[in-house]
Amino acid sequence: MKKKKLRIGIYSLTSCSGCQEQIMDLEEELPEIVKAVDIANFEMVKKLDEKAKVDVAFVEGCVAKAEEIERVREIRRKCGFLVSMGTCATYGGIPAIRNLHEGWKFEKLVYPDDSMRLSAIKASPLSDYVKVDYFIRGCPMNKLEFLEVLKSLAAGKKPRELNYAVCVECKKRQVPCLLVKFLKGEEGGGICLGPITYAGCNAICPANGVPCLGCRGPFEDSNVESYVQMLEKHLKGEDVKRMLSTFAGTSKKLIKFV
Amino acid sequence: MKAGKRKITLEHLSKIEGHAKLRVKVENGVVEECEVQVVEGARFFEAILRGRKFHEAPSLTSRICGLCSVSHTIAALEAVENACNIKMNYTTMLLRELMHAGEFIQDHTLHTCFLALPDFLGFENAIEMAQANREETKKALHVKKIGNDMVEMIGGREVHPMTALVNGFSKLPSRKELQQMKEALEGAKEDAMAIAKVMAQLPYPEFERETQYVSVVGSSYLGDLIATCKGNECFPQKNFADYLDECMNPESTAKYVVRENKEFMVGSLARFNVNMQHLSKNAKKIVRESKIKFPNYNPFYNNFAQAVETVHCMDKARTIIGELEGMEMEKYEDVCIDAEDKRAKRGIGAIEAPRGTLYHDYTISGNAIQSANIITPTAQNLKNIEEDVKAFLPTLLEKDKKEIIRNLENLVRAYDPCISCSAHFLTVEGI
Repeated sequence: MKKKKLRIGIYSLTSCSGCQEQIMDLEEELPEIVKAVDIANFEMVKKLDEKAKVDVAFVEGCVAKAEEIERVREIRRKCGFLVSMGTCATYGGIPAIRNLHEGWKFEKLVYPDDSMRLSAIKASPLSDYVKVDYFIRGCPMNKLEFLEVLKSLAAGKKPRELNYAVCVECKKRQVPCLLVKFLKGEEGGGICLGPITYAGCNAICPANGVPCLGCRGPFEDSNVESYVQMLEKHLKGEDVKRMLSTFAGTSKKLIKFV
Repeated sequence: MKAGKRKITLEHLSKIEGHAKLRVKVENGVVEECEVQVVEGARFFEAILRGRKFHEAPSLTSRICGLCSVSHTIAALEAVENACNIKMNYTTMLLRELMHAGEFIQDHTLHTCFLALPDFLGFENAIEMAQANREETKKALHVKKIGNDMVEMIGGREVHPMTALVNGFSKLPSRKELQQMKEALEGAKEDAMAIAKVMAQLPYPEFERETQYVSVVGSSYLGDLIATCKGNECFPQKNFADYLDECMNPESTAKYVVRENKEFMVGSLARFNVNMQHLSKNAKKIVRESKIKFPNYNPFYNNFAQAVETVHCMDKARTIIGELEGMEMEKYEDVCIDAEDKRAKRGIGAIEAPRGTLYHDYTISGNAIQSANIITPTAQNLKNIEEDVKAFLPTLLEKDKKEIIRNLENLVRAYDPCISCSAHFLTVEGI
């Protein structure tokens, strides 16, 4: 008996479209993907069919305007399994930096024209509004990780979670530790968020000679407190806050430190 | 379509990057109102940049757009370097040019072959087109991949490159990588030229409307001089604010930009109209053989110009790689900016992004960004798109509504609008 193809939808909320772009960047695999699954929606590439029901919805971007709350709920109603795609969808991402600024009342934004209809609200992850079944982290999400998740779901399995630090991948790749270099005062070192950040990117930034910026957010078992204590010995408090607030500052694990 | 009052609203403009809608009101054959509305949520990037350290600007602003993250990165770097009077070395300049060429190749191919082309060939979208034309699709994807591989080779990743730092790159490409890239470019040259020939022959509507055209001029897309129309007026990037005016639209999260109170066009077609003499030999040959005349005032030919630029960028990349192979590459040197120097230093980085001129304008105090203004290509094109729709729509009124909408969508899409880019703005008090 021929197995029914997995029906997927790729949706976009407030974002840079970089996660959708990562799917389009799977140049060698795309022809196979198109054969293997039924793509009911793919916002960048085809006309949106709002009525389409899908087995799996992949959603990029954060909820950052009032209309998007209903939109993400509607996507949830129309799908069996919801994957938040990338850091904006998972944590709010860079747009959520605005949530951290005190006194920044969105309903009172001041524009040259009062009639400006912005309907901006605080930037939130999808999980603030709907149940999310799986999180692909990263800014941008890693296209190979997307492929793994898609393959698992097409095979009827739940994709695996990696609950450990970027450091593990750095060691596997034998990348010299940038944090150790920094602490020793050696050239090329830097403050690296690898020790508290979810693995899965294959330590792409340290491997390219730049410290991890924490774009995948803090992993479940990370010891953020002791890490922050260590940072505070070397940096001003405000700089520590700034570093932690970039990608996932509003997450449960980081919010108390930013 | 019948006479009398008609409203056309396209709630979702499809096959473009991001969320926008088009609203048109026609009365007795005359277009009374026309507006492209950006409905993407605002992300307040300029406000987010305030108080951030100068070296964070490239990685933060690259997140404005996943399609042209390289351009935002480079414009941010230029703005910071210009503000702080940092002179990058020659290796850095070449690597930036190369990474930037990679972005043009990947981004233009994405738009021409996968967003614009399907409709002209009678397919609903790229997925349908791919299923009917497997071999051609693979070839186009291969050209796109070369652009991405080039960005990855220099920038570390296709989207949001991380190696490009103020004053240099954290990692240099190896000789072997450069050699392989050169071979890949050589191998895909014919395919890229074939794509351009296809884009030359598409059944574009006969529609012309002359407007102002603005582009960086000279042999580099990262150059310092910006020119308008036929190159008869030039201004250095640092003076851009004297020439362009930003305005607000209450219905939209994007600013729009005018020059002398009038709309203008940026992007591939504008670059051709302003700066065509700098195209590579192969690119010029395609233009010559196509018999398409330039300057060209038909916005649909932006699709063709993008495909020709892809060939141009592949040629340029080969030349740059040749030069890099013959020299000793200089390593990255960290820069320190005096945190105590509280004088306000302003720097502007203006470059050609795939969709047109991109401006990053920063004021830095100490080592932190005090204020930032970013003007994206799509914000500049918005007004011009609206004026085109106003001129184009009356020629379509005899057609049925579905056809009208298809034609209008094709017109908007020809600009390759990037809505994420244009919806980043907004100034906020108190931050």
